[in-house]
Amino acid sequence: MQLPAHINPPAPKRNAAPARAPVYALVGNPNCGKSTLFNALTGLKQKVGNYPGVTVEKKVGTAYSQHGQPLTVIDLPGAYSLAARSPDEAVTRDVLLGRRSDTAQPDRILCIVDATNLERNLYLVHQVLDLGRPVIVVLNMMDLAAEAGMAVFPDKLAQELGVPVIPCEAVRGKGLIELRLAMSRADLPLSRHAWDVPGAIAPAVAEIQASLVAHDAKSPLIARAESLLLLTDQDSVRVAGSTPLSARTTEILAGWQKRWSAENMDWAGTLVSSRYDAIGRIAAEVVQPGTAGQGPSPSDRIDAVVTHPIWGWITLGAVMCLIFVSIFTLAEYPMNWIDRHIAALADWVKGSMAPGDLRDLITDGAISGVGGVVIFLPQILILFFFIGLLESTGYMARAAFIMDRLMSRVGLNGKSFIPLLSSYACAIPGIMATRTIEDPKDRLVTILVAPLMSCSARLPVYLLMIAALLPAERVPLTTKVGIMFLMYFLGTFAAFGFAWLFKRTLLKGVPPMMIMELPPYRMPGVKDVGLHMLERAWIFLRRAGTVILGISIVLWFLSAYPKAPAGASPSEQLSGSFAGMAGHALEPVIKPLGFDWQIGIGLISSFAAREVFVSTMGVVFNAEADDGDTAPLRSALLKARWPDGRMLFTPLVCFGLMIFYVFAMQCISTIAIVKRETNSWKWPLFQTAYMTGTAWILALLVYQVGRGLGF
Amino acid sequence: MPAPSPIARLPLCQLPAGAVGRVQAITGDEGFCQRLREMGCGEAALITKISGTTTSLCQVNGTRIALNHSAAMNILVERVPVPPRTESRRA
Amino acid sequence: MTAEVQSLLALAVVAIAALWLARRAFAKKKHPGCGSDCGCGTKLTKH
Repeated sequence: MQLPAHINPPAPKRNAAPARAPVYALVGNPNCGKSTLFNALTGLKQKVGNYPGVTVEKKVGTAYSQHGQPLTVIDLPGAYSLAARSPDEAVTRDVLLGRRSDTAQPDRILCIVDATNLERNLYLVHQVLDLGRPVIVVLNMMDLAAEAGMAVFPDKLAQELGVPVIPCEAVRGKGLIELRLAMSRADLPLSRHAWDVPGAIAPAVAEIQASLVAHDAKSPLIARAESLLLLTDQDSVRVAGSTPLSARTTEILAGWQKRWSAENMDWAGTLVSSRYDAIGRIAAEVVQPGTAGQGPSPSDRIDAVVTHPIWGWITLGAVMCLIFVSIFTLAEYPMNWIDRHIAALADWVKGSMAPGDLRDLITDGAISGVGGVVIFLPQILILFFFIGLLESTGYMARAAFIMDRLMSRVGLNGKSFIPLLSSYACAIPGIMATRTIEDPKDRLVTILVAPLMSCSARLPVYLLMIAALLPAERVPLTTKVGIMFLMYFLGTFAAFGFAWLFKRTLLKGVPPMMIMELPPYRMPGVKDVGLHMLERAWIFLRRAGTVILGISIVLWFLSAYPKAPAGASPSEQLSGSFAGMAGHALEPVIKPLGFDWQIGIGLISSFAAREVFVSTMGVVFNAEADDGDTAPLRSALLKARWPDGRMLFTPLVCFGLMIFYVFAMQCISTIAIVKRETNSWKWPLFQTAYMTGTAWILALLVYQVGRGLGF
Repeated sequence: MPAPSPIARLPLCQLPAGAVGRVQAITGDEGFCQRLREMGCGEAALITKISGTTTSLCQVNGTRIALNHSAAMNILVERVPVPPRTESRRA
Repeated sequence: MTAEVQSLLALAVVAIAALWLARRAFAKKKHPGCGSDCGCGTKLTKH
């Protein structure tokens, strides 16, 4: 068998095989198929972590060479250039330059390049080649380039750059064997590509390079790349955990910058255009632009509708409606099934054990606590299915485009919408997604308002309250969906409103400039979306089986002890318990909202996580229920009464509780992540105060105005 | 490059939909200018406006990009009569 | 199983759960991050 030309050139033994498994870094522009390739290379053997100091995901996986030798692969955030403009790009830059103490400088670099847009993608490759590390260029999306009628010649590119170039279709797994073969090579050549640094800049490059070698302990090749980069780095984005430059180098750099600005010379522009000149010459050799397909592509035709000023909004509205209707209709059968089985399990335990504390702990604590949350699994899966679908098809960027106009009204830009949209699933990935926002103030405002978007943990609370609010089975679906929609709308509206307020008061700034790429539409990867859902299901169940189980058990104890004297009714028992005492202590604050001490127990416990409210209600009210069959929580809530016999969960109270949960910051994990992202306790505390304060005021308004109107 | 007549220069946000413009100058924040150049939207690049007046949807080098109003205001283009080729390439 | 034995066992389970929750909340994280609550990560092995 004859191997392709790039597999087996007689390269000199410059880079002897390292003793340990080589570490590969995966870099590329956003949307070039980097993650798909990473998944294809590493399979499920990947570990996700974070770079301390900045929440930028760090994925490390193990790939195997053709000979079964393990290779470590680090997936780095997508970047257009090493001159970083946002925290995620800064991490990519710092890892590649060996500026991070937590990640060793990668031995080799895999550059993923979108073949349909070679020139722009080569810009990053060009910078990476300067680093003086062995590079493998992966020409991804060769199929799409062919569809567009372009001819791309990998061999020519390999010849021009002097590094192996592997054509690849990561989605179909094509080219992976060749890539693994190339990655297994002990002797990868260094790039032979040379380009001339513009004469006017050359002395500066040389001086900074010398200083980096002398004062920052850099190797000469890295120092050259870094000095080129420092000259194009406008206002260097710094991330915690990266080593800063030495004082001497900073001084030299500032000296040159001062000199050039006095001479009014655009050195950064000169560098970029000299790189583009070099790239242009390469691209002219490597790519034959498409002759076919002059008309609009399918992607263009879809865009004509979904980015249309009117149709775009209608599409976005329809998509959101579809998601909410699906959450209610499709989930009904699996939810009933889970409900039946949980009730049957509790009854079985009751039937087969003698009465006693352990039996109560199992049924009233563990089963009703965990069961009350697990029942929402189908609905959460449906939500994540749709979010995964929006992400993988490329619609997410269109939604951001549509929303940009609205976002600009509040002083943000469309890029802030993607984190907000992800926050519908969970505020934590949402807040992590803010790392792509360039302006620090915009980023902070987005972080501050992201938890107002109704996350999936609020879903169980809303659903339980809607069920209690509209107990009749014949209530039309539209009413339920309508109320749900209203809650999501309120959260979204509040997020925008507070963003507007913060941009005008606390965090004033100039309107940000936004440039955002809209990737071509792709068929959603069924496997990727499925894997994502499975992962979510597992996380949700693990949480239910660990934290929520633990809280439910402790809560059972708090509601069962100290023991009331024999013959006391269940409600007397709860009232005198530890949980009851805490609830009673909180009651004066929440009574004006129409909440009693029992709801107070739920409010306190749900600070751990919002869905704990539901399991708490399960523990609190099932403890009260007569010792018969386990009743669905909904009917237990409807039986709840104030001491004077008034109904506790009136429609008004249910509505007020929902409003409270829309706004209140009831999530320790989010507080922790905001602390880490903003690197201070100031912002998470401010956020908790403003959100929970708003929640209290609005719930008060709803209850008091509602009462005044006679509800 | 021939000097553009002053009338022909207009900000990208005012370029009508469907028209093609050649970037003449980029103003505003230096970091942003550099990113535009790095993404291939620098001087002499051909931009096809697809839609939008506040948020502009454009096609550059076969890639769709969205630019918000403050960004599009800072890109001055010269209208090019007929696209030499739909697949706009850097000159 | 008598009621007393059940109570003892139940209290033991509660104590274990409480200790575990407390340890989880106060333990110094080896790899600080958002934990794995929302799927953004499992433990990271040093390489």
